[in-house]
Amino acid sequence: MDLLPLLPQALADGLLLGAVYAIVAVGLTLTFGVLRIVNFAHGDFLALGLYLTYLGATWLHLDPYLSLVLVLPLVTLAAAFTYRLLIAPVILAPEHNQIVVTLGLSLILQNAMLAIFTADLHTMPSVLSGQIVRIGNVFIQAAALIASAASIAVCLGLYWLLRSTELGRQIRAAAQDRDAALMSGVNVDRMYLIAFCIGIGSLGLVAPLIAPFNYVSPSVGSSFTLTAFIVVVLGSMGNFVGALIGGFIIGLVEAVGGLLTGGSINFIITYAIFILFLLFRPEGLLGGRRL
Amino acid sequence: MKPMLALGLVVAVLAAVAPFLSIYGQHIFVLVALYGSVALAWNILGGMAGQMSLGHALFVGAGAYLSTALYLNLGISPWIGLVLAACLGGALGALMGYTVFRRKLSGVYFALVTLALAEMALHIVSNVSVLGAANGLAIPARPSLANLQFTSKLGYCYAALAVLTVAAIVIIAIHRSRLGYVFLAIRENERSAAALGIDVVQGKVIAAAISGALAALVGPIYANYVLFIDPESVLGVTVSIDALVFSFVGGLGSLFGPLLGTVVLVPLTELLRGMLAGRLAGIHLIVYGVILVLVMRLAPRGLWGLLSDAIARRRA
Amino acid sequence: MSAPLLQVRNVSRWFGGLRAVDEVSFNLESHEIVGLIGPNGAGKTTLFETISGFIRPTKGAVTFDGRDITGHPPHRLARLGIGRTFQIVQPFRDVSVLENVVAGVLGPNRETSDPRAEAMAVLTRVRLDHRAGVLARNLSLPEKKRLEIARALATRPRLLLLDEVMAGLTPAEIDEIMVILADIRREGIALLIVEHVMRAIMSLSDRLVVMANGRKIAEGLPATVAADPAVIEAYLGRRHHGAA
Ligand SMILES: Nc1ncnc2c1ncn2[C@@H]1O[C@H](COP(=O)(O)OP(=O)(O)O)[C@@H](O)[C@H]1O
Ligand SMILES: [Mg+2]
Repeated sequence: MDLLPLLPQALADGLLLGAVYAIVAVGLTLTFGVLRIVNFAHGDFLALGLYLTYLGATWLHLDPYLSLVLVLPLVTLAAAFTYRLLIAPVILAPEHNQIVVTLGLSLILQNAMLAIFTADLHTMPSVLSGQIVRIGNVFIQAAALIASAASIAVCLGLYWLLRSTELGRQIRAAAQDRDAALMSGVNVDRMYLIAFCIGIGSLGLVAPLIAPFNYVSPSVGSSFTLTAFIVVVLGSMGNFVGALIGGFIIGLVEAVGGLLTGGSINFIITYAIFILFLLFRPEGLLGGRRL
Repeated sequence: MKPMLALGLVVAVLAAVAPFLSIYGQHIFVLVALYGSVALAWNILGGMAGQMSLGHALFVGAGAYLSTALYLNLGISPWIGLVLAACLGGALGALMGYTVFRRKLSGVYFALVTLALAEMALHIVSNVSVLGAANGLAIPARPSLANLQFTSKLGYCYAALAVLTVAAIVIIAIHRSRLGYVFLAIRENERSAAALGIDVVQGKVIAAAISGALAALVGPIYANYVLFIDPESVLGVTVSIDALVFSFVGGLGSLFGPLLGTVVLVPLTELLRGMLAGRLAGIHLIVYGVILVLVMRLAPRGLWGLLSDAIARRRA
Repeated sequence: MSAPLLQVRNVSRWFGGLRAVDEVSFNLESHEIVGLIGPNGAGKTTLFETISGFIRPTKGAVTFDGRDITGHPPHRLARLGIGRTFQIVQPFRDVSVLENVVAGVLGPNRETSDPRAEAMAVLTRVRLDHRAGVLARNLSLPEKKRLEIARALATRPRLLLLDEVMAGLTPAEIDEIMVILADIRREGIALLIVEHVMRAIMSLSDRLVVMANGRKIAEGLPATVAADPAVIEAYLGRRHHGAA
């Protein structure tokens, strides 16, 4: 079979997927870069956002795009609660304890969703579901295009926030040297809270946007967490631009890999890349921690 | 030989009690002994040597698949499979340890490598037809000692207890030898350890090998108890998480805290599951999560720490 | 005449463009106490790290007991008989003082019949035996410094590198350490000591090596070195301005 004609489609799919991976990974890398905490429950907040979108659709008959106004603040609020209740108390604890706390949180979130919503897959159709944009031989779902464009826009917006605003300066100060930031009057705890809320909140924004062309199940979160880890390690832990680049790389690898092999062999390739990076270039493509 | 004597006593009591348990009680006995063995094995690397693994399912699964595949395809007795499983687990542990620790990966990076290795193994097995791919492997019920299959649950109680005892003996032996101090030093401060003549990389590789070998021993027993394995049940991430949860809840810094964690958590969640009768799937994992978070907040040294503090207070 | 116990030959260590240690050479005979002094940032700790194998020298060679040990890993050097302490103490915090020292006894993997008794004996030598059962994290700073020495002694070194074991101590606590060090020398262990406490280093050392900006600027008997104008300029002079 000649795969070449299918390649443009795979590349397009990969780029669209990559943009979503990028924003999910940017949130993870932001929490890691600022709080120095690796959040194993990161993807579960995306699942939470998807379930909220689903509830909005079934209870309030809201189109996913409209439920954004509910999902974004609710997920951000959940992040704030999580920070106060679980993250802040272990911010100075040994790394082991931090990992265990976020693993525990992931167990709670994931299985609470399982208990409430069962393991069934749910879809959340929108007026845009099924709308296809055709460019030559490449077919693109309109919803996916919107999600990707929005993801990139949010990434750029966050980058601008971190680089060019006073808030961003203070967040970066807290990230670089906790003690020095404290000395110069930065409210480090507040910056941590804000960074955590932004990192998780961006998932609350992405969830309704990817809902029209995705399904939700309780395990969606952990697969996104793993992908986000892979992206973040690829692009260097804590590195904002790295997460963006890494997102596109993994998106392309999955799409093109899917074309060549298909099925779960694809996972094997992604994991192999991940392990090789961890072993031989744990500092990632770009190296260092740069927000 | 005081700890060994105490161990012998405990094992004798457990062996004597097992026949008098109800069928359900014996089921719990088997589960506690098997999960407890994995937790103790995990703790050698994660607790004693301080390298937190999120991938011990790799060893359990390797052991289960090796013995089962050998038995089903070549008719090799699971007893031989058991020995080979330990060898394979030890080799995988050593190999993994050597590649990872030589590159100075630790902390969250080590956790991620182990997680990724186990997940990759799961997806590989899911694509290999001799191993039943995603459907898993069913073992035909042919009870006989040679097949490591028993007509009553009591036989499985003793098999599981035997594995647990092996793990306990190894741990006591490590604790009493130079190796115990090698692990302690590595866990506490690697630079100091090296300054005292301790080969840090070698020490970690040994910890990973022993830990992997013991965890792999559980696989064949589990497979022959349930008579069915599939990628999710023996290679899935929950297997790794369970070991970690029991260890942290029981008490990471202690030798037998992980077993205590298992003794408390497994019956508790089995009870819960029974009460809910299949409704609210995953409820036991919520309980694990909540307890894990609470322990981290309120008693970072785990149940064992609480217990020993209480005893110390009584004495004072 | 046999070869010196320790030979440092043209050792350099660069960090990027910074020459932390620059072409330093000196010898140390067995049974000798050599003081290594110099202002902060002179490169003393970096030199220690290269001798004890924790960092590789960029150039140069180190020999111990006549054999080349350049670039050997630290655990192998510890087994050969080079013990060291850390300027910033690094105890095994969550285990007892005794277990810290037992780890030192067992670390080099040599024959020993009763590690705990041996560890206890070492603790007695540094006057820490009464604290044997205490968690190392609960020791005071002077006690931690002595634990650092005890652990290194437990490996039975022939050469002991001590990096500022008196820093932050009161005069009385310094006197205590000096007594301990005098005992150690009597046992025939050679010492290389980095110290800012001048009265201690002057009275303990057989010879001084002085470093400044990564280079060795003087070497000789303490009295001679102390009178060297270059040394006074680089080191003693600055100390009066609080550059300790
Ligand atoms: N790992 C390192 N990376 C970069 N520079 C270093 C490193 N270690 C030491 N230095 C620099 O090397 C110089 C010598 O430091 P050090 O050996 O600690 O001096 P001393 O112990 O004499 O005070 C200092 O300028 C220090 O900043
Ligand atoms: Mg120094």
